[in-house]
Amino acid sequence: MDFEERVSAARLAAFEAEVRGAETANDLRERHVDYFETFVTVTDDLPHSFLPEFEPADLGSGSLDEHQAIVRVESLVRPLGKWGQPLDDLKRAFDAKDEPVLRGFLDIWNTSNIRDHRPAFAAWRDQVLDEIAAPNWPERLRDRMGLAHYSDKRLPIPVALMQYTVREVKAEAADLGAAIMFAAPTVLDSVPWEYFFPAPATLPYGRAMALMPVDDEKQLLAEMLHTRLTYLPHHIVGLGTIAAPSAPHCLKELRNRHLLAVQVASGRGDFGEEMP
Amino acid sequence: MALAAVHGSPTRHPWLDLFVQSPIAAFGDLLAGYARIPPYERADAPDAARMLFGGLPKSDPARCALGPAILGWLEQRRRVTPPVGRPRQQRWVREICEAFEIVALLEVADAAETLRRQFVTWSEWAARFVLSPARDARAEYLRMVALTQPLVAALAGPRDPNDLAPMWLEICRQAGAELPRRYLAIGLLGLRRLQQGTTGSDAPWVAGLAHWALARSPTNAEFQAEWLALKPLYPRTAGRWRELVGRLLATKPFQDEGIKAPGWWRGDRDFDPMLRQDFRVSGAPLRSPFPADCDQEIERLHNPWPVTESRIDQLLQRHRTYVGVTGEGQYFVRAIHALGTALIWPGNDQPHDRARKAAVLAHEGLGWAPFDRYLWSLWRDAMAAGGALEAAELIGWDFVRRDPDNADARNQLATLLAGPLARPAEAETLLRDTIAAFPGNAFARTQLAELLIADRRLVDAEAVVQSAFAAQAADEATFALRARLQSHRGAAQAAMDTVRQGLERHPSNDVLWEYQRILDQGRVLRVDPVAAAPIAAPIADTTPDDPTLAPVLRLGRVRWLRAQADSADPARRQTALAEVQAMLADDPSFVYAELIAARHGLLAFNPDTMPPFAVAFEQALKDGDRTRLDALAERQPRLRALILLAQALFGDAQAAWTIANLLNDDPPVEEARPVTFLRSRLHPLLAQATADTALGIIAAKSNAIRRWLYDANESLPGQRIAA
Repeated sequence: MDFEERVSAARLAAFEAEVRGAETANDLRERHVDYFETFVTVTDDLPHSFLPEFEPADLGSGSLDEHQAIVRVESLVRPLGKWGQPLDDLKRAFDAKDEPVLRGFLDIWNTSNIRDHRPAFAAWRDQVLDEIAAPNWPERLRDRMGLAHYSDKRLPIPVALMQYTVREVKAEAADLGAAIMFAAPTVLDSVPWEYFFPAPATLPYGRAMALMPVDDEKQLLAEMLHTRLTYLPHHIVGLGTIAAPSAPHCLKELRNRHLLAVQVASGRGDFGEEMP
Repeated sequence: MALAAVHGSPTRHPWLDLFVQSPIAAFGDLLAGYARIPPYERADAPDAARMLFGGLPKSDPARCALGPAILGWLEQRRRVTPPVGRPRQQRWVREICEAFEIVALLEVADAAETLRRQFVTWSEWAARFVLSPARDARAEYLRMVALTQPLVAALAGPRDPNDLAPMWLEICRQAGAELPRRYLAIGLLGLRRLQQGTTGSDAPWVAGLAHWALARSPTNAEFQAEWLALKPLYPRTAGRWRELVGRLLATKPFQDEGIKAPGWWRGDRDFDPMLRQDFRVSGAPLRSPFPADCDQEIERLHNPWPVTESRIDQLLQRHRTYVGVTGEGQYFVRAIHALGTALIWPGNDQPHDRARKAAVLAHEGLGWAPFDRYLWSLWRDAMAAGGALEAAELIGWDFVRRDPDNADARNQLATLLAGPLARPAEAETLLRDTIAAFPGNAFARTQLAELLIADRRLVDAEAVVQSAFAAQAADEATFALRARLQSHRGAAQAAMDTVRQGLERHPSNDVLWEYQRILDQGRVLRVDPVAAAPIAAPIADTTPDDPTLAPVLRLGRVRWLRAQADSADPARRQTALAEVQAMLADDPSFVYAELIAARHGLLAFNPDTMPPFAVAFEQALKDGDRTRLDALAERQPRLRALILLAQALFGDAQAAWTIANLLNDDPPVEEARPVTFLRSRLHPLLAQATADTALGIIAAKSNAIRRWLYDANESLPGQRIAA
């Protein structure tokens, strides 16, 4: 866990209790998945990510300006499948501001097996304004946010750009009884995944690893986790399709360049370790 | 790591080769999140599966192996005990949900067809795993079935591609009551995915919406939200909508409730013209074929079968069109019953083909009226007439199980056992059991006496007749029977006295008048039993090759085993329970077998592993565990009466008094059927009970009450919409 500075001792103990007995690297990996699927991807409880006893890296849940806009890219493959209609139908409703149709779609999505209480990875809107304004915003946001799993040559991925405020997240979190609703992500808030990169504890927020090599720490995108939000029609601010895969890249280069940027941003030259 | 393989997005992911080598295990890894599928590890299994399999040609080995892998994994999971504790259970349920979801998302036709064909098994199993909206295996199973209807129809799977239409309508009706409100979207989705052009409506979901509104009385805003969420997806002119809705609301179910068009559609401006006094719905009014149309066909049944069948099909297709538009099945059901009953009456050509047709129609009718007693009888009798005696018997047993308040179902089954099946001893046992369960039922007593006469056990027969009089369960047939027996043993005066007493009570009974005439002439009455209604001579006993029949036959078999397990003969009991255990070894999630095993202490039961309600109730009843009963009452509030009665059996005076009070209340409109059954059994006992006497009355009848609880609980498994 040397690379991960934000996991508290209490959470580490909970994790270790789950992975105890792992004998090989693959064992450990699978038990990490078990931990994530059991205690983070939860149905209607609070995930470990926000439980006070695990001392999450609270991003100031109580003090954030409530009017700040948050954005998140959602794949619509499964929601549209459950709705039983294609993206074009949703687009028509979106363009026509047909709230009943949008609400009908969201009701199905919100009450399906997709929308459990796992933490949501998200970013501040004002950090991705250029990407949002681009004609190919789905791919641009995918690349900037490091959503490597939204990438395929053959199959387009319908996506929605969701936008909402701190206030809305806080209101729903209060209903859930969550004292902490915004936290910096840790390695335990995801399955083991080479596109996740922990950030030094001295940096506010996490830092998403983009799908293109970064040249400058200013290119780093702050990422956060927040508690579940029930989507409403006004949260959909864009509909599109990820039609092109991300540019070919070398994972080692991505990670090493990202590490350097994070070290510069945090002033922590000792943070982490380059991939040889 | 060489990333070209990942980010160059080759047409085929290398993991697929591993998958082909060991499909079930690899699919399990995919669902569990273990699969090494960079960069898709972060994706949920359905998204990952789409990326991996979605672009493959149908002939790709991995694509070919996907369906069997999903089915294999689901079969394995169905045989494994779920984990303990909510955190692990929610993951367990999630994986099941996602397996079903992948079938629909990737249109895995072979898996969809199998899961649909084994509907009862999978829906009942999935119903165990409802933890929350986000972990609801039943919802995901039903949604998968809804979405894959066109896929399955293209495979020519079900006989009728729209055979689930009545279930989708029922889900709409139950959404917000027996089922969570969110199920309305699933019911409507099912209707939206029916085969176009065969339902009689171009928008059958409109009927679903109307039936939901009729059953649930939503607010105007709630209804409009549902209506307007779908309306734009089905572009129609305003006039066409008015026509569809106007014709729908003019049908009986809505007229009976005083719904005037546009009904719930008031508020949508497209329907404003309907508010005018002079508005007339365009198009011919929807109308079901008349009963006279059916009578006309019955009069022509003597025609050659090919001609007759064609005419019947035409008539029933008109019914189907009406049902498809309105969702109202009562006329269809009546026509099926009338036609089917006439079809199995002997005397025409191709009797077995006619009987099979009647069986198929009865089954179709049960889709619209799952508890219709006439249709269950018809189904059983048509099977027998078609030569499928074993299937007929098992349908008969399942009918007894599903409808425990129906003595006729038992009596008719006894007729089948004693006659075509040539098992009079079992018929006798069943009839004696029926007399114990329904002491006021005269027919069971008469039938038993006739059975004994046929076996030349005249003394036993007379004892049965005497007991009928003692129990005040004698009708005109009982008088006639006693007279026959008395006359036969030479007690002419006693026989005449019996006939006269019978005529005082039943002066219009022709048989008694005839007996009086015979006795007046000094002749002896014949004691031979009255012949049962004839059925066509069975050909070889064959079970039809109909996959939808299998679940019913299996349930019927267990009901028969239950009867054997109740036997006083230890050897029969042991053999029956061994078969139940063998069934469970073959399918550990077979609820009805679990229930019987629990009753007899054969189940390794753990209340923390999400057992079905019926099994958990049975075990708590056996263990006398009031804490677990309380927990079950929270899980199934509609079945609270079962819990209260069980608690009263364990000495809870408050529960006994609550039950007595509930019996004095009017039953709720949608009372659960097992509760209605208990109401009918308990009412005579507890109608006059007080707070001081209720518990004592229940204690005095504890054996009978325990049996009623068994019967009520046993009626739960195998429902179309599993609870």
